[in-house]
Amino acid sequence: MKIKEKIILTAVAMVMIILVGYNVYSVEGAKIEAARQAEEDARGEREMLEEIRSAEAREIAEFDRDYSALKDEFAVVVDELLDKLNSQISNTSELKEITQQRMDASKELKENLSQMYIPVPLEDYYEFEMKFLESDVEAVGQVLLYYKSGNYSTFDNREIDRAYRARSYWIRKAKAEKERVYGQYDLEYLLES
Amino acid sequence: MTKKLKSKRLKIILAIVYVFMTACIIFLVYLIVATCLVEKDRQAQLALWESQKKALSDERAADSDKMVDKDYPPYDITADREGVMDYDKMTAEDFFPLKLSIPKIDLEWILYEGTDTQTLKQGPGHIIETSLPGDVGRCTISGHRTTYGSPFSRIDELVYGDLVYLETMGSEVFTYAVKGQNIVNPEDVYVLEGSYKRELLLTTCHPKYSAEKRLIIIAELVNLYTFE
Repeated sequence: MKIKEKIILTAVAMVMIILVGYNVYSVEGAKIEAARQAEEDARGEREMLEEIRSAEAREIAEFDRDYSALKDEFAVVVDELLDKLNSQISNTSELKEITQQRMDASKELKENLSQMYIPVPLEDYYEFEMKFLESDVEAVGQVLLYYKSGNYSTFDNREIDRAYRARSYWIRKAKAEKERVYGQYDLEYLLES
Repeated sequence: MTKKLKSKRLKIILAIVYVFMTACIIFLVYLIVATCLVEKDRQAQLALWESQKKALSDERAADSDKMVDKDYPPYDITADREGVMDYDKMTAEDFFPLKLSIPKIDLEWILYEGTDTQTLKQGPGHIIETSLPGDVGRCTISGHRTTYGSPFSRIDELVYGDLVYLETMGSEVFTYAVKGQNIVNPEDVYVLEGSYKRELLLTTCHPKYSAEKRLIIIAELVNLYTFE
Protein backbone atom coordinates (compact mmCIF):
# COMPACT_ATOMS: atom_id res chain seq x y z
CA MET A 1 0.00 0.00 0.00
CA LYS A 2 1.24 3.32 -0.97
CA ILE A 3 1.86 5.97 1.54
CA LYS A 4 -0.75 8.14 -0.06
CA GLU A 5 -3.44 5.51 0.43
CA LYS A 6 -2.38 4.97 4.00
CA ILE A 7 -2.72 8.65 4.69
CA ILE A 8 -6.16 8.69 3.10
CA LEU A 9 -7.29 5.67 5.12
CA THR A 10 -5.91 7.10 8.29
CA ALA A 11 -7.62 10.39 7.57
CA VAL A 12 -10.92 8.65 6.86
CA ALA A 13 -10.55 6.59 10.05
CA MET A 14 -9.78 9.68 12.04
CA VAL A 15 -12.75 11.49 10.55
CA MET A 16 -14.91 8.47 11.39
CA ILE A 17 -13.58 8.39 14.93
CA ILE A 18 -14.13 12.11 15.27
CA LEU A 19 -17.67 11.82 13.89
CA VAL A 20 -18.51 8.88 16.18
CA GLY A 21 -16.90 10.64 19.10
CA TYR A 22 -18.79 13.82 18.36
CA ASN A 23 -21.99 11.86 18.02
CA VAL A 24 -21.42 10.11 21.31
CA TYR A 25 -20.44 13.40 22.90
CA SER A 26 -23.48 15.25 21.56
CA VAL A 27 -25.93 12.47 22.45
CA GLU A 28 -24.52 12.07 25.94
CA GLY A 29 -24.38 15.81 26.31
CA ALA A 30 -28.01 16.06 25.33
CA LYS A 31 -28.82 13.33 27.84
CA ILE A 32 -26.91 15.10 30.57
CA GLU A 33 -28.54 18.37 29.61
CA ALA A 34 -31.97 16.71 29.64
CA ALA A 35 -31.27 15.15 33.03
CA ARG A 36 -30.01 18.47 34.37
CA GLN A 37 -33.05 20.20 32.96
CA ALA A 38 -35.34 17.58 34.44
CA GLU A 39 -33.63 17.94 37.77
CA GLU A 40 -33.93 21.68 37.57
CA ASP A 41 -37.60 21.40 36.66
CA ALA A 42 -38.16 18.95 39.51
CA ARG A 43 -36.38 21.25 41.92
CA GLY A 44 -38.50 24.16 40.71
CA GLU A 45 -41.59 22.07 41.11
CA ARG A 46 -40.45 20.91 44.55
CA GLU A 47 -39.78 24.48 45.56
CA MET A 48 -43.16 25.52 44.27
CA LEU A 49 -44.87 22.64 46.10
CA GLU A 50 -42.86 23.41 49.19
CA GLU A 51 -43.95 26.99 48.93
CA ILE A 52 -47.57 25.95 48.50
CA ARG A 53 -47.16 23.43 51.29
CA SER A 54 -45.62 25.92 53.64
CA ALA A 55 -48.32 28.43 52.70
CA GLU A 56 -50.96 25.79 53.46
CA ALA A 57 -49.20 24.85 56.68
CA ARG A 58 -49.17 28.49 57.64
CA GLU A 59 -52.88 28.76 56.87
CA ILE A 60 -53.60 25.64 58.91
CA ALA A 61 -51.58 27.00 61.82
CA GLU A 62 -53.45 30.31 61.61
CA PHE A 63 -56.79 28.50 61.48
CA ASP A 64 -55.75 26.36 64.41
CA ARG A 65 -54.82 29.41 66.46
CA ASP A 66 -58.15 31.16 65.78
CA TYR A 67 -60.38 28.12 66.12
CA SER A 68 -58.58 26.89 69.24
CA ALA A 69 -59.28 30.25 70.87
CA LEU A 70 -62.98 29.85 70.06
CA LYS A 71 -63.01 26.27 71.30
CA ASP A 72 -61.27 27.30 74.51
CA GLU A 73 -64.00 29.88 75.16
CA PHE A 74 -66.60 27.20 74.41
CA ALA A 75 -64.90 24.76 76.80
CA VAL A 76 -64.93 27.37 79.58
CA VAL A 77 -68.68 27.91 79.12
CA VAL A 78 -69.33 24.15 79.02
CA ASP A 79 -67.26 23.60 82.19
CA GLU A 80 -69.15 26.32 84.02
CA LEU A 81 -72.47 24.79 83.00
CA LEU A 82 -71.29 21.32 84.04
CA ASP A 83 -70.21 22.68 87.42
CA LYS A 84 -73.66 24.18 87.87
CA LEU A 85 -75.29 20.90 86.88
CA ASN A 86 -73.10 18.92 89.27
CA SER A 87 -73.72 21.28 92.17
CA GLN A 88 -77.22 19.88 92.65
CA ILE A 89 -79.48 22.57 91.31
CA SER A 90 -82.81 23.00 93.01
CA ASN A 91 -85.40 22.63 90.25
CA THR A 92 -86.12 21.64 86.65
CA SER A 93 -86.43 25.28 85.52
CA GLU A 94 -82.73 25.72 86.26
CA LEU A 95 -82.06 22.42 84.53
CA LYS A 96 -83.81 23.63 81.38
CA GLU A 97 -82.03 26.97 81.55
CA ILE A 98 -78.60 25.33 81.82
CA THR A 99 -79.43 22.99 78.94
CA GLN A 100 -80.62 25.91 76.83
CA GLN A 101 -77.39 27.80 77.56
CA ARG A 102 -75.39 24.71 76.61
CA MET A 103 -77.25 24.53 73.29
CA ASP A 104 -76.71 28.25 72.64
CA ALA A 105 -72.98 27.82 73.25
CA SER A 106 -72.81 25.08 70.58
CA LYS A 107 -74.84 27.15 68.15
CA GLU A 108 -72.53 30.11 68.64
CA LEU A 109 -69.42 28.02 68.06
CA LYS A 110 -70.98 26.55 64.91
CA GLU A 111 -71.86 30.02 63.65
CA ASN A 112 -68.34 31.29 64.33
CA LEU A 113 -66.79 28.29 62.59
CA SER A 114 -68.98 28.79 59.53
CA GLN A 115 -67.63 32.34 59.19
CA MET A 116 -63.99 31.31 59.31
CA TYR A 117 -61.63 30.90 56.36
CA ILE A 118 -61.01 27.16 55.95
CA PRO A 119 -57.66 26.10 54.43
CA VAL A 120 -58.11 23.60 51.56
CA PRO A 121 -56.49 20.64 53.40
CA LEU A 122 -58.93 21.13 56.28
CA GLU A 123 -62.09 21.02 54.21
CA ASP A 124 -62.95 17.49 55.31
CA TYR A 125 -62.14 18.33 58.90
CA TYR A 126 -64.42 21.36 58.63
CA GLU A 127 -67.22 19.20 57.30
CA PHE A 128 -66.84 16.67 60.14
CA GLU A 129 -66.55 19.40 62.77
CA MET A 130 -69.71 21.08 61.46
CA LYS A 131 -71.53 17.75 61.55
CA PHE A 132 -70.32 17.20 65.10
CA LEU A 133 -71.62 20.62 66.15
CA GLU A 134 -74.93 20.02 64.33
CA SER A 135 -75.38 16.68 66.12
CA ASP A 136 -74.34 18.28 69.41
CA VAL A 137 -77.00 20.96 69.00
CA GLU A 138 -79.51 18.28 68.06
CA ALA A 139 -78.61 16.06 71.03
CA VAL A 140 -78.85 18.93 73.52
CA GLY A 141 -82.11 19.97 71.85
CA GLN A 142 -83.52 16.47 72.33
CA VAL A 143 -82.50 16.53 75.98
CA LEU A 144 -84.20 19.89 76.35
CA LEU A 145 -87.37 18.37 74.87
CA TYR A 146 -87.08 15.55 77.41
CA TYR A 147 -86.78 17.99 80.31
CA LYS A 148 -89.66 20.07 78.98
CA SER A 149 -91.88 17.01 78.53
CA GLY A 150 -92.15 16.46 82.28
CA ASN A 151 -92.82 12.89 81.27
CA TYR A 152 -89.59 11.36 82.42
CA SER A 153 -90.49 7.69 82.81
CA THR A 154 -92.35 7.19 79.56
CA PHE A 155 -90.50 9.62 77.30
CA ASP A 156 -89.25 7.90 74.15
CA ASN A 157 -85.54 8.64 74.37
CA ARG A 158 -84.47 6.84 71.22
CA GLU A 159 -83.89 10.17 69.50
CA ILE A 160 -81.59 11.24 72.34
CA ASP A 161 -79.64 7.99 71.99
CA ARG A 162 -79.39 8.41 68.23
CA ALA A 163 -78.21 12.01 68.51
CA TYR A 164 -75.69 10.99 71.20
CA ARG A 165 -74.28 8.28 68.96
CA ALA A 166 -74.09 10.63 65.95
CA ARG A 167 -72.32 13.20 68.10
CA SER A 168 -69.73 10.64 69.26
CA TYR A 169 -69.23 9.43 65.70
CA TRP A 170 -68.59 12.88 64.22
CA ILE A 171 -66.34 14.02 67.03
CA ARG A 172 -64.15 10.94 66.46
CA LYS A 173 -64.11 11.50 62.67
CA ALA A 174 -63.16 15.17 63.10
CA LYS A 175 -60.39 14.30 65.56
CA ALA A 176 -58.93 11.59 63.27
CA GLU A 177 -59.03 13.87 60.22
CA LYS A 178 -57.37 16.71 62.11
CA GLU A 179 -54.59 14.40 63.28
CA ARG A 180 -54.10 13.12 59.73
CA VAL A 181 -53.82 16.58 58.18
CA TYR A 182 -51.63 17.99 60.94
CA GLY A 183 -49.36 14.96 60.62
CA GLN A 184 -49.09 15.48 56.87
CA TYR A 185 -47.96 19.08 57.38
CA ASP A 186 -45.67 18.35 60.34
CA LEU A 187 -47.95 20.28 62.64
CA GLU A 188 -48.38 17.59 65.27
CA TYR A 189 -47.06 19.94 67.91
CA LEU A 190 -50.29 21.95 67.53
CA LEU A 191 -52.28 18.90 68.58
CA GLU A 192 -50.55 18.86 71.94
CA SER A 193 -51.64 22.37 72.88
CA MET B 1 -108.52 33.62 159.78
CA THR B 2 -109.56 34.81 156.33
CA LYS B 3 -106.23 36.52 155.85
CA LYS B 4 -104.46 33.32 156.81
CA LEU B 5 -106.58 31.31 154.36
CA LYS B 6 -105.89 33.77 151.59
CA SER B 7 -102.19 33.57 152.27
CA LYS B 8 -102.32 29.77 152.16
CA ARG B 9 -104.21 29.81 148.85
CA LEU B 10 -101.73 32.25 147.43
CA LYS B 11 -98.90 30.00 148.49
CA ILE B 12 -100.54 27.04 146.79
CA ILE B 13 -101.12 29.01 143.59
CA LEU B 14 -97.55 30.26 143.67
CA ALA B 15 -96.31 26.74 144.20
CA ILE B 16 -98.35 25.50 141.23
CA VAL B 17 -97.07 28.35 139.08
CA TYR B 18 -93.54 27.64 140.26
CA VAL B 19 -93.85 23.93 139.45
CA PHE B 20 -95.45 24.71 136.08
CA MET B 21 -92.72 27.19 135.17
CA THR B 22 -90.02 24.80 136.27
CA ALA B 23 -91.60 22.09 134.17
CA CYS B 24 -91.71 24.47 131.20
CA ILE B 25 -88.09 25.42 131.63
CA ILE B 26 -87.06 21.78 131.96
CA PHE B 27 -89.06 20.92 128.85
CA LEU B 28 -87.52 23.84 126.95
CA VAL B 29 -84.03 22.84 128.01
CA TYR B 30 -84.81 19.26 127.01
CA LEU B 31 -86.00 20.42 123.60
CA ILE B 32 -82.91 22.53 123.04
CA VAL B 33 -80.57 19.78 124.20
CA ALA B 34 -82.42 17.14 122.18
CA THR B 35 -82.36 19.32 119.05
CA CYS B 36 -78.65 19.99 119.51
CA LEU B 37 -77.94 16.30 120.01
CA VAL B 38 -79.94 15.30 116.94
CA GLU B 39 -78.22 17.97 114.87
CA LYS B 40 -74.83 16.84 116.15
CA ASP B 41 -75.75 13.26 115.30
CA ARG B 42 -76.92 14.31 111.84
CA GLN B 43 -73.64 16.12 111.20
CA ALA B 44 -71.68 13.12 112.46
CA GLN B 45 -73.62 10.78 110.20
CA LEU B 46 -73.04 13.02 107.20
CA ALA B 47 -69.31 13.25 107.99
CA LEU B 48 -69.08 9.47 108.40
CA TRP B 49 -70.97 8.92 105.15
CA GLU B 50 -68.68 11.33 103.27
CA SER B 51 -65.56 9.65 104.66
CA GLN B 52 -66.87 6.20 103.70
CA LYS B 53 -67.75 7.51 100.26
CA LYS B 54 -64.23 8.88 99.84
CA ALA B 55 -62.71 5.59 100.99
CA LEU B 56 -64.83 3.71 98.46
CA SER B 57 -63.92 6.19 95.75
CA ASP B 58 -60.19 5.78 96.52
CA GLU B 59 -60.58 2.02 96.49
CA ARG B 60 -62.27 2.17 93.11
CA ALA B 61 -59.58 4.46 91.73
CA ALA B 62 -56.90 2.03 92.91
CA ASP B 63 -58.69 -0.87 91.25
CA SER B 64 -59.60 1.01 88.09
CA ASP B 65 -56.86 -0.65 86.04
CA LYS B 66 -58.29 -4.06 86.78
CA MET B 67 -61.83 -3.11 85.83
CA VAL B 68 -63.43 -3.71 82.51
CA ASP B 69 -65.99 -1.37 81.00
CA LYS B 70 -68.96 -3.64 81.48
CA ASP B 71 -68.33 -3.89 85.21
CA TYR B 72 -68.29 -0.20 85.96
CA PRO B 73 -70.41 1.75 86.48
CA PRO B 74 -73.23 -0.82 86.60
CA TYR B 75 -76.03 1.65 87.10
CA ASP B 76 -74.70 5.05 86.20
CA ILE B 77 -77.67 6.98 84.94
CA THR B 78 -76.16 10.45 84.90
CA ALA B 79 -73.36 10.03 82.43
CA ASP B 80 -73.20 7.88 79.33
CA ARG B 81 -76.48 6.50 78.03
CA GLU B 82 -74.69 3.22 77.32
CA GLY B 83 -74.47 2.56 81.06
CA VAL B 84 -77.25 0.10 81.85
CA MET B 85 -78.73 -0.42 85.28
CA ASP B 86 -78.79 -4.07 86.25
CA TYR B 87 -81.48 -4.18 88.92
CA ASP B 88 -81.69 -7.93 89.00
CA LYS B 89 -78.34 -8.14 90.73
CA MET B 90 -78.93 -5.29 93.17
CA THR B 91 -80.11 -5.35 96.74
CA ALA B 92 -80.77 -2.70 99.37
CA GLU B 93 -77.17 -3.12 100.63
CA ASP B 94 -75.99 -1.70 97.32
CA PHE B 95 -77.81 1.54 98.06
CA PHE B 96 -78.06 2.24 101.78
CA PRO B 97 -77.09 4.34 103.59
CA LEU B 98 -77.85 7.00 101.00
CA LYS B 99 -77.53 10.73 101.20
CA LEU B 100 -80.84 12.50 100.67
CA SER B 101 -80.52 16.11 99.51
CA ILE B 102 -83.20 18.64 98.64
CA PRO B 103 -81.47 21.97 97.84
CA LYS B 104 -84.75 23.93 97.75
CA ILE B 105 -85.31 23.40 101.49
CA ASP B 106 -81.65 22.96 102.52
CA LEU B 107 -82.29 19.35 103.48
CA GLU B 108 -79.37 16.98 103.80
CA TRP B 109 -79.79 13.73 105.74
CA ILE B 110 -78.41 10.25 105.71
CA LEU B 111 -81.11 7.83 104.74
CA TYR B 112 -81.32 4.30 106.13
CA GLU B 113 -83.16 1.16 105.12
CA GLY B 114 -86.24 0.58 107.26
CA THR B 115 -88.79 2.67 109.08
CA ASP B 116 -88.85 1.18 112.56
CA THR B 117 -88.85 3.59 115.49
CA GLN B 118 -85.12 3.33 116.10
CA THR B 119 -84.23 3.94 112.44
CA LEU B 120 -86.53 6.95 112.18
CA LYS B 121 -84.88 8.46 115.25
CA GLN B 122 -81.65 8.56 113.23
CA GLY B 123 -83.25 10.21 110.21
CA PRO B 124 -85.52 9.41 107.29
CA GLY B 125 -85.94 5.76 106.37
CA HIS B 126 -86.79 3.81 103.25
CA ILE B 127 -89.89 1.64 103.53
CA ILE B 128 -88.50 -1.84 102.92
CA GLU B 129 -91.49 -3.14 100.97
CA THR B 130 -91.25 -0.39 98.35
CA SER B 131 -88.99 -0.31 95.30
CA LEU B 132 -85.33 0.66 95.43
CA PRO B 133 -84.04 4.02 94.19
CA GLY B 134 -84.07 4.32 90.42
CA ASP B 135 -86.30 1.29 90.02
CA VAL B 136 -89.79 1.13 88.53
CA GLY B 137 -92.43 1.67 91.21
CA ARG B 138 -92.70 3.94 94.20
CA CYS B 139 -89.54 4.14 96.26
CA THR B 140 -90.92 5.54 99.51
CA ILE B 141 -89.10 7.45 102.21
CA SER B 142 -90.65 8.30 105.51
CA GLY B 143 -89.43 10.90 108.01
CA HIS B 144 -90.43 12.79 111.13
CA ARG B 145 -91.91 16.21 110.68
CA THR B 146 -91.57 17.78 114.11
CA THR B 147 -89.40 15.48 116.21
CA TYR B 148 -85.95 13.86 116.05
CA GLY B 149 -84.45 16.69 114.07
CA SER B 150 -87.65 17.07 112.06
CA PRO B 151 -86.04 16.12 108.73
CA PHE B 152 -89.28 16.54 106.78
CA SER B 153 -90.51 19.69 108.50
CA ARG B 154 -90.41 21.72 105.30
CA ILE B 155 -91.30 19.21 102.61
CA ASP B 156 -94.70 20.88 102.22
CA GLU B 157 -92.78 23.72 100.50
CA LEU B 158 -91.84 21.46 97.60
CA VAL B 159 -93.61 22.26 94.35
CA TYR B 160 -93.66 20.95 90.79
CA GLY B 161 -90.16 20.77 89.32
CA ASP B 162 -88.15 20.90 92.55
CA LEU B 163 -85.35 18.38 92.53
CA VAL B 164 -84.61 15.67 95.08
CA TYR B 165 -81.27 13.83 95.03
CA LEU B 166 -80.40 10.39 96.35
CA GLU B 167 -76.68 9.72 96.31
CA THR B 168 -75.04 6.39 97.00
CA MET B 169 -71.59 5.95 98.49
CA GLY B 170 -70.50 4.81 95.06
CA SER B 171 -71.33 8.33 93.78
CA GLU B 172 -74.34 7.21 91.77
CA VAL B 173 -76.88 9.99 91.90
CA PHE B 174 -80.61 9.47 91.39
CA THR B 175 -82.36 12.73 90.64
CA TYR B 176 -86.10 13.06 91.06
CA ALA B 177 -88.31 15.95 90.00
CA VAL B 178 -91.33 16.71 92.17
CA LYS B 179 -94.62 16.19 90.32
CA GLY B 180 -97.01 17.13 93.10
CA GLN B 181 -98.20 16.49 96.62
CA ASN B 182 -101.12 14.73 98.18
CA ILE B 183 -102.68 14.46 101.65
CA VAL B 184 -104.08 11.08 102.61
CA ASN B 185 -105.23 9.17 105.67
CA PRO B 186 -102.65 7.02 107.46
CA GLU B 187 -104.51 3.88 106.43
CA ASP B 188 -104.38 4.78 102.72
CA VAL B 189 -101.39 2.58 102.04
CA TYR B 190 -102.50 2.09 98.46
CA VAL B 191 -100.43 5.17 97.58
CA LEU B 192 -97.30 3.08 98.14
CA GLU B 193 -98.37 0.52 95.60
CA GLY B 194 -96.55 -0.03 92.35
CA SER B 195 -96.44 2.37 89.50
CA TYR B 196 -95.19 1.87 85.96
CA LYS B 197 -93.09 4.98 86.51
CA ARG B 198 -89.84 5.35 88.41
CA GLU B 199 -91.14 7.38 91.32
CA LEU B 200 -90.08 8.57 94.72
CA LEU B 201 -92.51 9.26 97.55
CA LEU B 202 -91.62 11.32 100.61
CA THR B 203 -94.11 10.83 103.41
CA THR B 204 -94.55 12.54 106.75
CA CYS B 205 -97.25 13.48 109.26
CA HIS B 206 -99.73 16.20 108.45
CA PRO B 207 -100.54 18.77 109.67
CA LYS B 208 -97.54 19.66 111.80
CA TYR B 209 -97.74 18.38 115.39
CA SER B 210 -100.44 15.93 114.39
CA ALA B 211 -100.52 12.40 113.03
CA GLU B 212 -104.03 12.71 111.70
CA LYS B 213 -103.05 12.65 108.02
CA ARG B 214 -100.06 11.90 105.86
CA LEU B 215 -98.43 14.37 103.50
CA ILE B 216 -97.11 12.68 100.36
CA ILE B 217 -94.65 14.30 97.96
CA ILE B 218 -94.55 12.53 94.60
CA ALA B 219 -91.45 12.84 92.43
CA GLU B 220 -90.32 11.14 89.23
CA LEU B 221 -86.83 9.99 88.23
CA VAL B 222 -85.19 12.31 85.74
CA ASN B 223 -81.99 11.43 83.88
CA LEU B 224 -79.45 14.22 83.99
CA TYR B 225 -77.61 14.30 80.69
CA THR B 226 -74.14 15.79 80.61
CA PHE B 227 -72.40 17.09 77.49
CA GLU B 228 -68.68 17.49 78.00
